[in-house]
Amino acid sequence: MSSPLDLARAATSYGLPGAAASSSLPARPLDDTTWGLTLRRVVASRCTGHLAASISDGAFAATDEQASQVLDAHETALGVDLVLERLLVVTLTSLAASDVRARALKGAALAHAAYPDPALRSYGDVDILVDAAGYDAAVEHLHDLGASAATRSRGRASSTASARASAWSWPTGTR
Amino acid sequence: MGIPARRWCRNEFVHVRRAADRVVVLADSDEPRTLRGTGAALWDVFDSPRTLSEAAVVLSGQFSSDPEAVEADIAPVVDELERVGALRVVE
Repeated sequence: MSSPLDLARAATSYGLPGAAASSSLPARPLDDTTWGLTLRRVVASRCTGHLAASISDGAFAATDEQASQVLDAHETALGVDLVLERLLVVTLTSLAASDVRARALKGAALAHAAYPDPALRSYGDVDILVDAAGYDAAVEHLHDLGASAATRSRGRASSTASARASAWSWPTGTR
Repeated sequence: MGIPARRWCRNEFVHVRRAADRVVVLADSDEPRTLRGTGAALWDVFDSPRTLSEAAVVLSGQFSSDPEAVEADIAPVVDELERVGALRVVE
């Protein structure tokens, strides 16, 4: 019997190029304890979409109750994704209107650009890359949109070749 | 000549994800809504503009139900989806 960690790893890569063979997925439903630990790891790694797909395809054996638990967890993750996605669109639209060049990075961008279904790629925050020349204007925009700085800006401001990074949060807790 | 029936379609500015027979929608509010089962099927039907009765005919075919009963069932759901901005009336 594989450990919850191994099961979670196999499930969270399901359907991805180079993923482990589906033979590493359980052919029979897991016992409650192993299932609970596996699901917890999958939720923590925000990969409920892959587990849901593997169960839906019959590659990961699960009881009806377990399948329902995954869908419930996935539904919650998708709700967070949508809130973040809208925040990203609002932010990028606002920056573009002020001629600040910016691009979405990582999770939200990859969900639409690299996955056959964006529901497979959940994320816990959104990342944007801002042109150095527009960094200060971007900070002002984020303030105007209701965000507050969660960390101090890092990096040198004097050179356009330098990188400055900062994290921001909204009153709703989104980042 | 009578008043033309209203037609609805999905609001293209709404953020949406699908998971099996569930559709998670983020419209005007900050709270995502989930449409399940027949609700998800209703969402699919409005991928193009339809009247209530047209939507009811499609759904009644899918669920082997009486179109008039389906229309009565979906009317309040369509109203609610319009109210929250998930569906829009097509002019």
